[in-house]
Amino acid sequence: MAKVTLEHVGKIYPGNVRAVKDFNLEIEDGEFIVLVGPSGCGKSTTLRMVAGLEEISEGTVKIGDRVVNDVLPKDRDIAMVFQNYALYPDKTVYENMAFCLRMRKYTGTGGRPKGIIRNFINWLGNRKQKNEDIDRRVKEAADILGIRDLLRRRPKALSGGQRQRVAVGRCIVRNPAVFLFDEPLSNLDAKMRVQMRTEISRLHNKLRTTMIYVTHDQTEAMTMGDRIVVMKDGIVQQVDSPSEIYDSPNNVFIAGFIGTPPMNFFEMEVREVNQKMVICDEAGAINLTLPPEWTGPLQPYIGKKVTFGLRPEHVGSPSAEAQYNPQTISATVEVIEPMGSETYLYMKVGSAGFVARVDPHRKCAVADKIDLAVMIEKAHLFDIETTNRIV
Amino acid sequence: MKYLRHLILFFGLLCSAYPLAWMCVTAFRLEADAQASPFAFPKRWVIRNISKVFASGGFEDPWLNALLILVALCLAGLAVLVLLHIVQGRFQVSTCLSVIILISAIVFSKCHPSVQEALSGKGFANAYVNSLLVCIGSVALTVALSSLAAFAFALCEFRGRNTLFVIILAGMMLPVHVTLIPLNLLLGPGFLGLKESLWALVGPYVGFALPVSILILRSAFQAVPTELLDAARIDGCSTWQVFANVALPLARPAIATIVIFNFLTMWNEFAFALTLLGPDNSTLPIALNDFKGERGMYIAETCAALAIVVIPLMIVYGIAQKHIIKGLTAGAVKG
Repeated sequence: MAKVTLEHVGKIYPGNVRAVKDFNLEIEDGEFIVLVGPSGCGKSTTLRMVAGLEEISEGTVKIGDRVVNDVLPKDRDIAMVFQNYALYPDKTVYENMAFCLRMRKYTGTGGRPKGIIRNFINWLGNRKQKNEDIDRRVKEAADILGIRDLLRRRPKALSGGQRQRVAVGRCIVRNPAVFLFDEPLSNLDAKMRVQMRTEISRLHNKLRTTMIYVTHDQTEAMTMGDRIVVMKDGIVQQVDSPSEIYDSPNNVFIAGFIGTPPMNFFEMEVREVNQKMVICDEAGAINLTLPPEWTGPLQPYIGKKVTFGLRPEHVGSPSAEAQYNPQTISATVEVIEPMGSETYLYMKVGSAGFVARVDPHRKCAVADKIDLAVMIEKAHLFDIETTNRIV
Repeated sequence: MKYLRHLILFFGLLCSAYPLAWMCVTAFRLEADAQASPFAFPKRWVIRNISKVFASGGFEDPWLNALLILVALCLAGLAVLVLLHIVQGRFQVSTCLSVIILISAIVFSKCHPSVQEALSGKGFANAYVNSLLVCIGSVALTVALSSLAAFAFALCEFRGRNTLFVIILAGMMLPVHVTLIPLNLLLGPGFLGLKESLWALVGPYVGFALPVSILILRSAFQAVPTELLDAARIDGCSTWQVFANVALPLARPAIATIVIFNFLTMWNEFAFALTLLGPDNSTLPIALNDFKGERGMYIAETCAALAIVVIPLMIVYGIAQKHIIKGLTAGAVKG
């Protein structure tokens, strides 16, 4: 168990390619932190720097109170689960899990005795003790993960989920200060992924070890993390709890990245009409009055274009329709996607398209023109140049 | 179409199997019969040829010579087993015992006068033992050196890696026989003074086996998933342990390939053995050549000798080829 601190961490690859830039993060003891971002955003590189598999070009990484920049991976007290499981194919599950313990020097209870023969006897005794110790720990870990009956098999004879469980077991055996996960679920099929997701969360609740989890899947990030770190092009965009990230994203990128279906964006102009802030699009098809408390921050944007972001569940959804005298957007239905519990409507208004998440029983047909209620106070406005959130 | 394919395959089998079968059959014919009509089926089966082959050895009794070869073969098999164990990273009691047996056998053969005398003569049995010693020694050395070099070329970053690799590969383009005279000078009394001893063969054999072996093993090591190596490093392996515990077991099929490939070339090598070994020392190809006289050759006897030379090789090949075919990487990563 340990805190992990990253201070001004950066990674420069040969040829002056910057993979990570000024990464600052303090991970609390026992926290489950998720690094998320599109591929090539530097999240895996960051994890590998914590693991010691990549050299740290700039800044310092601390595990506990120790700076580990120049510490070998094996001495960092970490364990890592890889995307491709990385099980040793020629070893049994048992040997896979025991391998890291076998690689360790086992120091017996006493010191080294004098004399060659006594030393040899001591070595034999230690060997036996070591084997017993390994056996106990492997079996404990196997029981936690429910893979005790697989111990004698080889990785070839396991399914994807079982292999991933063995890979996790290999980490548990070491009892590390920090668990590192590098996209561990992306090779599993959809159903198995959901199952392993909850299993890893359960494991975290049980072990209470610090875990750093890298994924490109925003669902995994939302469901598993205590806190989420969103990255793009090697730069941290936002560090916050899942609900904070979802409800108040810092910029257009995060708003569009987190959530399925993603947030709808419109290019709109801010106007002041009768001392109320109004936004409307070029064609004049959308015309919405903004809440009065947004007037202050929007002052400098009057007469300028902004990006208007609206999540699908805030337009046309049952709770939006239930508002008293709601504002509406009237648009044409292009595609209807019934999901069972809800229906996604792909709408067209002017030149812009958007998605609405509506009640599954709402009657409509393709090419219908319908009015959808908008929860305007849940919407966001972003600066069109800096892409940062205004309100 | 299917039948045609089978027909062609069957024809190929016939082409390669017939000489072998003919050799085995002729080994048991009377010499006079064989001379008269070499391709006929034998009228009488005799075992005389084989005992005659063994007669040209250090011991008086041909069957003692045969026993010597058999013991040498068993020890060679043991040596191969030890090598396999080491490749798999298992250092167990049985491995230690085998090493002890091997060492004591070598010490015994060096110290016991009658065996020493038998081994120092010039005959078929001595050539057999010599061949086994040289080939197994050279193959072991080749595997050890080339696996280490290939690991470095495949997985370690260092300056001049590609240049060095190209230089080593360029060694493959050198025609072997061009080096005969320089090697004779180099190994001769003026320089290394190894000529006429078996060591004179080991050097060139290993040297000429290295480029191909490194090439084959390098691609085998490159095929090892990098995540596996990362996992090993996190599990606490040093670079050496990564090599011995993770990379080497995965390269087993490639190692089997280079073992068989090099063993065959060394077992059949003639030019170096002829020029670098003195008149009192020989390996099998030279010994087989002695069955051929100036005026003619002993057909049946040669066949008997050939059969004795070839059969152990075929057994080794039969065992090792399973290893080549079996892909061991299956199950390492998603599959």
